[in-house]
Amino acid sequence: MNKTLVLFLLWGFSQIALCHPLTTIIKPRYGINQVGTQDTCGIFFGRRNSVLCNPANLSLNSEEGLVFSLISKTDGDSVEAGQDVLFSPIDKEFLEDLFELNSFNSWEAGSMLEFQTPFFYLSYEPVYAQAAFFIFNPASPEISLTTSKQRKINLTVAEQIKLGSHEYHFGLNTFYYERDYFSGSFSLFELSSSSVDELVDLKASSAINADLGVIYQNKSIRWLPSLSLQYKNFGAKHEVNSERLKDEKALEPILLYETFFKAEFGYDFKMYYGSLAAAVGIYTDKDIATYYSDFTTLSLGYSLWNFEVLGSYSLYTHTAGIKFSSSANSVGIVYGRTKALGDFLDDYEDFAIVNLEIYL
Amino acid sequence: MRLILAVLIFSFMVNAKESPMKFLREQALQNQKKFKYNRYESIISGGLAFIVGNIGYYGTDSSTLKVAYSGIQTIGILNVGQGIYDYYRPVFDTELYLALREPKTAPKRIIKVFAQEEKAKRLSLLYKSSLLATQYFANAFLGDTDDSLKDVYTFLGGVNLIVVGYATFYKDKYEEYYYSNYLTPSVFRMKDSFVAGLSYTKSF
Repeated sequence: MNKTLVLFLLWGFSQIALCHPLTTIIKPRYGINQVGTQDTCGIFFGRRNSVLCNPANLSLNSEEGLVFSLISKTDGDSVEAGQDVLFSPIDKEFLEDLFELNSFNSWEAGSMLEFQTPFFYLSYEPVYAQAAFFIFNPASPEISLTTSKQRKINLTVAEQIKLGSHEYHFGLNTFYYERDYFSGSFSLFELSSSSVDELVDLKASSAINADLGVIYQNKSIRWLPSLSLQYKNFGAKHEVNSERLKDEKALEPILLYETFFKAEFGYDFKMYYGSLAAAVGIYTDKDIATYYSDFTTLSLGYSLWNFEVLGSYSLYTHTAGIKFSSSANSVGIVYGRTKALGDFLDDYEDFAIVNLEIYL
Repeated sequence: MRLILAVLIFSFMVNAKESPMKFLREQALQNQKKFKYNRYESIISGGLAFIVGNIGYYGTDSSTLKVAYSGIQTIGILNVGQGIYDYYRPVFDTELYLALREPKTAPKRIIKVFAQEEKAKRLSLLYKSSLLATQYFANAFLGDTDDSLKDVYTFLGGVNLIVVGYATFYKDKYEEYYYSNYLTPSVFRMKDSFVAGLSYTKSF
């Protein structure tokens, strides 16, 4: 046991990723619980959205119904510029205008129609969109731009196995997506010599991938933490561009579309005055060879009937949020601060994210 | 042959459907008012939503967040209304079981349970619409609200005010019958004589 612990710690300290990635706050198939905890909510049992945190939660959740949800980053110049990248026609004038904006701009949003039963969970995302750009070197401006739009349909199933006091829950979320994606850099001078299509070449792709999830809990040994493991985007062809990750003038989204592994452990206490949960989440690449230590997250959640408080802390992102629900709808608001480019950007960006759910 | 018959009878006895009265009794004992954590949870979380929604609404300059906090105010009030309904509503299974067990008082008990249900719904509607009307008028006329939103809040406040009027004066048939106040001529027996007069009855 001690040997295993020492080996784990050695692996953890030695495999710190030397990358400078772009972190997205809203990712596909996200609700306010995922944003408020930076997706470290796999062991937050009994919440309505817990199936989005780990597909294995479906076997722990008996809720059913049809829900429409909308989630969006709101406010600020950064958001408006990000929206323009996604919804305005990208031409030369537009790109020239981008160079006159703040150094970093981003916007993310998603919508979802969810149908949940105790046996399966079906969801359709008509649109998930993210856009971000950063202007390097104001003297000789160079822009790094990443943008993607995606639609997706998910089918989740789960099963549980009980061996004495040991409870294992297994979940599988299979999804089909269609995506337009671009991640690249160009200078202001290239705009005069190249066409826009050459500079911003949106690549279309579609495929069937899956998220695999396992949850372990033991209710009879209270000190033993619950465990949530996930292999996300299993079968994805999308790879993080490692050259761009090392490049000091490049944005490259990470933990978004590529295959990666996520492990969480923590406690969820049910008390007379509500439910209090705390968890730690760690991320690695798909081979479990590179430990993304910068994204290790501590999350907290308190829930009383239709009221939830959420919070999280990781090296570059801190969040605090609330969620209130009624029988007809719910509203969630998360405030946060993030260094979207890690140590590359000295300033923190403040953001607010709003989530609206309508129970149909 | 006898053995087969005995096995068949035994298996039918084991799998036989329990009597309706027994089933109803079990449901009556089980179906108490259910709460996830405690009996005040809806009022507490509704009250919190009301407070947080108002602090957020009057504390932010962003119009998007104002709309979101307005949504939280509304959810808070709806949850308080749900809490009021849960407080007043009867437990149907228990009341029906008791009515069947005591047939003499059954009509009165059945009327009472329907009247309590109607009253719970009406009071919930009355309180939540009153709070919503006050909230929307406050959003419209207090604080810095855009003109377009002001019109929306005024309209919503007006709609809720009409609902308040409806919930105050309109009572459905069971509630009207059971909780009605009435005066009846009565004769009371005193020590040595009888006294005639009027009696006033009010049910709570």
